[in-house]
Amino acid sequence: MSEIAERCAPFEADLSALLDGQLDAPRAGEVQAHAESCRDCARRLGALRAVDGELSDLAAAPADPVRIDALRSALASRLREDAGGLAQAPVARRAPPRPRRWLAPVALAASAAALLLVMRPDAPVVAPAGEASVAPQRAAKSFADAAAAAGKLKAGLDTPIGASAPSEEEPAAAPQPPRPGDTLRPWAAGFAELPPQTGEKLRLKLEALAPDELNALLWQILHREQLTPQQRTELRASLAQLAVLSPEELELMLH
Amino acid sequence: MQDADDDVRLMLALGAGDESAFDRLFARWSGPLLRYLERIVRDAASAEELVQETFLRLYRARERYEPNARFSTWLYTIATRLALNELRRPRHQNPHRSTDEENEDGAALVLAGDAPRADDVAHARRVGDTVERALARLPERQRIALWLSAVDGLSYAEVAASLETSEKSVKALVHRARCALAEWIGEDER
Repeated sequence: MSEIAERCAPFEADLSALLDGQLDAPRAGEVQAHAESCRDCARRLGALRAVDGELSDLAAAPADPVRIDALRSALASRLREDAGGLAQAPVARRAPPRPRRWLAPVALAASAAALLLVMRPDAPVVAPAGEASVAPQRAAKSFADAAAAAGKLKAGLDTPIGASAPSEEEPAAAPQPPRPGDTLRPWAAGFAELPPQTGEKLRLKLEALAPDELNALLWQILHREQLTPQQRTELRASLAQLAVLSPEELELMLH
Repeated sequence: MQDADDDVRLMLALGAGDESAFDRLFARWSGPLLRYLERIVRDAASAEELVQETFLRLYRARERYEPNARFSTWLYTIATRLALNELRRPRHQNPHRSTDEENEDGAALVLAGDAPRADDVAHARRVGDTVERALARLPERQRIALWLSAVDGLSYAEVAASLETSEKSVKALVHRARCALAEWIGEDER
């Protein structure tokens, strides 16, 4: 915008606040009076007001109902998971993973997350069994019903968080999604000896990863005893690539 | 703006066990939140995830909720903090994205919901793209402050709470953002 004349400078910073109704009445009167008597400020005020008009037009566009329905469905899944007892994990929960995204390249992420939980044993990892509210199940059901009624549920979006999406490559004996009563704490307690410095390095690694991948792989680590030999091999390779864990810590993860 | 009292009533009803209130809050606020978060994180998928996360936190907090502030302020504060956390992730630290540093790149946001539009709205779309590009150039805190204030009608005090800063800072952020947009949109139209 053009340079501000000296006589306008005292009012310039208040032009936006005037538009936003954030000035007290006396000050608003002063700024308004100046703008009415000053061509430059009147023009500037008009330009700023026009910005609001453009933004309002953007905001007025209705949200795509299909996207909203998909969001509703995904949220219902997460609420169901809340009811299942994994809701309190301090890991941002995201939309379910897509097929094949839970394989080795991101397995290290879950390992890191799992270890991080150990570093913070006081963290509210999971609601103790029996404390999970049944209310989320009702809300989830309501959400799912609404989306299903609209006929717009997208395949895969309703998969419970933590469950791998269907994959033809997955063996029949693959671990199942978390169930009510599942808990991270006993599993995580096995790694309580991890040195603090290692934990910090893991935290940094953790922050570099996509949370949805992290979430899916956290579940994989949780069920590591049930992984197929191939999956365990992939997991071991991923942990090695992490280049943070010592061989001893790696073994601790896998045994 | 929605009826603020009604939102508070719904939230209190949810806390008291009326699960249908959650559906109504979602129906009412998911769209505005999605539009807001898309402009802030500049990524459609991330915005959708953050909408989910915001509502999940709302749900978890239902029994602790106290109507000390407007419902919208509370909701946008949750969303804003999640968005700022998201923007700190390395995957968003891209030189082609705007951050608190000025960004010279004005690439338009590609939203998942963007679909080809009819010719008779081509002009409207061109103008809209211009505004989107201009918004994308703003530093993130300016973008947040302007959107919350100018679009969602939050007071500077409310925006300050969301951004964990002072009202004075918000006033400056909003003004700088509005001036920059006015200039950039004007340049584009000339």
